[in-house]
Amino acid sequence: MTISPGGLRLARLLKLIPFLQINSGVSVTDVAQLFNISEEQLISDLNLIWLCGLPGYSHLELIDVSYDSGTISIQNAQTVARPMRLGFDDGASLLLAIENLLAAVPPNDALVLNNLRRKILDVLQLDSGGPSNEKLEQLEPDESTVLPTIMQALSCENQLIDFHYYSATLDSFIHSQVIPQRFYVENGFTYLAALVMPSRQYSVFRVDRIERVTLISTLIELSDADVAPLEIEKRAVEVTIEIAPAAQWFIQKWGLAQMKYDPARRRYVGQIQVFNPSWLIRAALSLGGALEVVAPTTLREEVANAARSSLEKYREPLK
Amino acid sequence: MAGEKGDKAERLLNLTLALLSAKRPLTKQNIFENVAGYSGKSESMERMFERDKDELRELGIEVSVLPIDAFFDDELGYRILPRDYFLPEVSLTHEESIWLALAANVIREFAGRERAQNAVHTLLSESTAAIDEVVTASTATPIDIPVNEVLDEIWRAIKQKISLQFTYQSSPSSTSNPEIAGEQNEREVSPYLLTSRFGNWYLVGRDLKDKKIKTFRIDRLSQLLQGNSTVFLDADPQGELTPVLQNFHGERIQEVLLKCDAKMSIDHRLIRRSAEVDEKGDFRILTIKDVDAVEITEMVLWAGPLVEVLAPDSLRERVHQALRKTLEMNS
Repeated sequence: MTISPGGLRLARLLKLIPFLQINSGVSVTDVAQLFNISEEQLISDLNLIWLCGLPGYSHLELIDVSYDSGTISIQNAQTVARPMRLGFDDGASLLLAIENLLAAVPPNDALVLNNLRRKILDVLQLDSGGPSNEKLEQLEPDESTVLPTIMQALSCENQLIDFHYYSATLDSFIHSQVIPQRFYVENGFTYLAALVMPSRQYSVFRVDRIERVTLISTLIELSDADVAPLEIEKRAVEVTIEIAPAAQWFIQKWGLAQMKYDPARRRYVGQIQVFNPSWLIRAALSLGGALEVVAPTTLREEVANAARSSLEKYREPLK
Repeated sequence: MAGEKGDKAERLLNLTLALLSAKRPLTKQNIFENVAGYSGKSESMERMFERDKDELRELGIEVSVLPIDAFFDDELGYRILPRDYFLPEVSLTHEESIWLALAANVIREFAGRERAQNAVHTLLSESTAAIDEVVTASTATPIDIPVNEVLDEIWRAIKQKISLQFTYQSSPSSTSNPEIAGEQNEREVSPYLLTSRFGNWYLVGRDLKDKKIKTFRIDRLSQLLQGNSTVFLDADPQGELTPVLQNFHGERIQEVLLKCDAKMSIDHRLIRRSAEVDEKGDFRILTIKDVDAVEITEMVLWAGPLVEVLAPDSLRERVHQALRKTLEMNS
């Protein structure tokens, strides 16, 4: 059976009425935006709600609606003070969005999205795979999510943000102030292009490595002439590496599309651009022998030296 | 609003309110006499009510048919039971409320956007964020984030208890020649749940060929169809799924002791992850509790010579071996 326009409208009304009771005084503009309808449609819906109520239909039973001053309030609708159950198709689509976002967002956002996912799974009576009494990990009270704050900054002109970013190359957190410019996707990863202050140079950051951000109230005035163009570093070194099949996940994690499987060597072989040798040295150490630097030999020696240096600590058994 | 659409939505809303507020089942006659919107000949009201009832059910509103008198079931009436109708309490934090509004809108190419937005409209009543924050989040500029629609189809099959059929490419590490041999084979699986590890999604389900519960990485799965078999084999959550999930999520170490050089930034992720940090002058002793063994090994090795594992011995040995292999491979 296809749902009629009247049925679809009922579905919307049954969401609107509890929302408007809980959020009394909300503006017509905000509600229309949130429910993806025109203000005219919303007013028409309010006019319809005003005609409805419980049998008897006197002023005691009819729903009271007011939107005179551009703000809405609804009373006498206790029968539908809460929304109806979440439909499976709608809930599953929201889950799909959340599950696809999880890999792309910063750690704080992923924590919040995971909790949201668990709550939606509970409502849909689906198994999350965790123990049913598992306590959800929460953000610290002074922490907030990253992507919504950056999006808020993007909606303003030249909004400065305080920015903490994990650099895998340095294996530490970088703290700076940036003006976000835009998001873009490359190699399956989401990046933020931003102007780093006070140098006013463009830089790009992988979104899933942004640790935390805070809006700064200082106003920055920028003209196009102030901004140094985004420069791709020219100092990259071409490095030939081989990776054992067991570490194929590493190729995926870093988007190393150049690495191809060589049946003769039974390993992935390829040349990659390395901007900072520290990254490759750390990567080789972390892969425990699954990554071999073939050329240049100087970098291969640096990897061997780093391994030797770390091994010094393990030469003697602990007492 | 004038016209049929307005009239129908109005009648359906009045009917919903009447059936939901009724303490006892309402007969058709009660409904025709008392609910606004029903008029005309008896047969036409009957037809109208049947269509309305079907439409409510289509919208997911369960209209129960119950005896009017608990002791006699010869006369039936209708009610919407509150326990069937209402959304259970969902307590959303401020940040979850913001992400709820953002999640359905932020992905640029998303076929399920409208349905996801419907879900948001239902859950908005549970939001604890200020309205202007929710509006800002729901109107943010979308980002290009790739969407794997397969997850949606799998959840549907899990909910409906339908077995799935798909082509699966085994892990490259489990074959001698991953790209040529490919190790692709057809599977038929009773799906139980979706879980993730290190950014990848996995289906946990029973392979109907050997009846074993296995994990399947979603991005290695293609040509997903509803299975040929009408059989859906259930799983015992405690006896069967819990051990598989524990094994899948890998070994956890209850307590790790690390010695790290004082030169290491106080902001380092190992220090942030520590339950205790003991300052010893030119070094620190870090205590990390309940950590994934693979994750901590990778973090320690990535930090290089600044960190040494003191305990447990198994982790110390694992790191030692990894370093020796790196040296052998690159000497």
